[in-house]
Amino acid sequence: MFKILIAEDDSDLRELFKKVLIQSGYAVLGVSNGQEALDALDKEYYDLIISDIMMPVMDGYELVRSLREAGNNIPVLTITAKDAFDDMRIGFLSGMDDYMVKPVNVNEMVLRVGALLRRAQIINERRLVIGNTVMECDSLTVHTNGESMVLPQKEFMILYKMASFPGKIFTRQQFMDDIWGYESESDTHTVDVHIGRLRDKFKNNNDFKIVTIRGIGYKVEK
Amino acid sequence: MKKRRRPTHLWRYFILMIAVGFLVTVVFQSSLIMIVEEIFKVKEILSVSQNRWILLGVIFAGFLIGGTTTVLISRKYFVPITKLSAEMQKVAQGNFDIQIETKSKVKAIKEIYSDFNLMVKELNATETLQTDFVSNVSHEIKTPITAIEGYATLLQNSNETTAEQAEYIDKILLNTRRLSELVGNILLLSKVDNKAIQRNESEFRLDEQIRQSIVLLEPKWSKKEIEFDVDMEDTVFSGDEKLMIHIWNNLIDNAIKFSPQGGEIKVSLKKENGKTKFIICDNGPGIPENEAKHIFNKFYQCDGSHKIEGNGLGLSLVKNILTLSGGEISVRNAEGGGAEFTVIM
Repeated sequence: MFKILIAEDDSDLRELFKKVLIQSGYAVLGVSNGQEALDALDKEYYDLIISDIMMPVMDGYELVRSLREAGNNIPVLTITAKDAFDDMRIGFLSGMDDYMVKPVNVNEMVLRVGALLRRAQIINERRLVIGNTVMECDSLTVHTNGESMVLPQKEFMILYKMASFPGKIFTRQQFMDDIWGYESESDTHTVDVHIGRLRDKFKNNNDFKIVTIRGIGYKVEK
Repeated sequence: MKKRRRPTHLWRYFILMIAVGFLVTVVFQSSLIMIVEEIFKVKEILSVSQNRWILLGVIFAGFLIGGTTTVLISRKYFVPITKLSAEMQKVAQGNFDIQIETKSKVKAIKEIYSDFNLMVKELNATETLQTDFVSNVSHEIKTPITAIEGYATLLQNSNETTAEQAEYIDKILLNTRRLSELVGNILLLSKVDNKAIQRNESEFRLDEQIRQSIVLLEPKWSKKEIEFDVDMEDTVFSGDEKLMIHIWNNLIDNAIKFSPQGGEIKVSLKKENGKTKFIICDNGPGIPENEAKHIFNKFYQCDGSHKIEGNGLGLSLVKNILTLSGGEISVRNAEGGGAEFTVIM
């Protein structure tokens, strides 16, 4: 069973998050600030932290920063009242993995927790499973029903990225920045060419399909 | 700049005084001589023409001394005031960390300086108060709203509710969302109105920002099965990135709101005559002509749009952000119905 640590100073909210997560089958501990969270982490292992930003004693940014400085890569979902772009930037810079803006929809929170845990596992194992399809990061190989196919690196990265977040739309520019690098001179249409090849290679795969959102980008659907 | 301005002003003053002295002496020389003759009763000596020049010299020297004295005295006031004016300009630009000192022994000047320092301190405190206030209010209001929404969702998730109860829960959820959106918009609007936002200009890809905004709103438009027709040129834009995003979020959200199920939203971004032109067009009901001029007013909502959702602040926010960053927005009904918003920057 996955263990989740919640740092939130409002007791009603903390209880709410605990209830929802316990209902979804997680083991949960609630604490009321960043310092208490660090103390709890010293005593026991947790798989994920849900943290508020504005808390007394030690706030969420500081909590995440001190975790990352200590080399702890535990996934952190921050919950914040601030929706200003700048605050998000500070959050990601200090090392948070995902964020939600209050008022938080608890059903969505459960989904995000699941996705974060899945992603942490994908990162740890360097492989990803969708239905009967397995993608292995180190060998750039995709296995489907006993058949294996080695993909060129960039093609694999595009597919792997989309498959890590099924249903999420990625723009061409995002692929260019993440896979080709910010300095790349290549045209964004290069992405279209790679997607075309991927589509062709997996046209008989029933586990996922690559969907085009015209003028915006691509996503993988299960 | 401050150092160059000070002597220039004083020199001008000095030269002006001497020039006036010189002019007065030359133009009124005969009358002046008469006056002096009258006062001193020394007609005989001064009627000699050589002496006349000596007299002119004396008068001219008088003005010279007068001018110098004036300059010296005004220096005492002039220099501290020029300095004050330069510092005031900095405060007007939003720098509230200034404190100034003077060596002047004039009481009035010393008072002005200490009052100025006090004023800036107060302004600084108000500014901090307002920024903190906005983020505190936002945190303090949104935390209980999250609790309300969360517990209502728990009720909704349980299978033991009747159809009627489920309807009430839906209403609670819908209204908590409305409330939180309203709070967010009011706070942002008050920030923009008071220009409390420190403007941060940077270069960024505008077309990508708009695309990200469409991606962000994906849950809303995919639920209504809306198609996007996107035609955007690669555009590098210089502006306040975090403020601009609210323009696109609001305009796109608005278009989704008024689109019918399965509708289409057209988005285009082009360079035209050195300006950047963004157009968004939905195929909803459009805007009645007599209402078009009000839709950018705070809390204004077209008849019937109350029923849809929103709080009448979105477009007003868009307009204020654009005004702040030197852009403009207009609206018209597109051919074949639907509203078309045009942003020019």
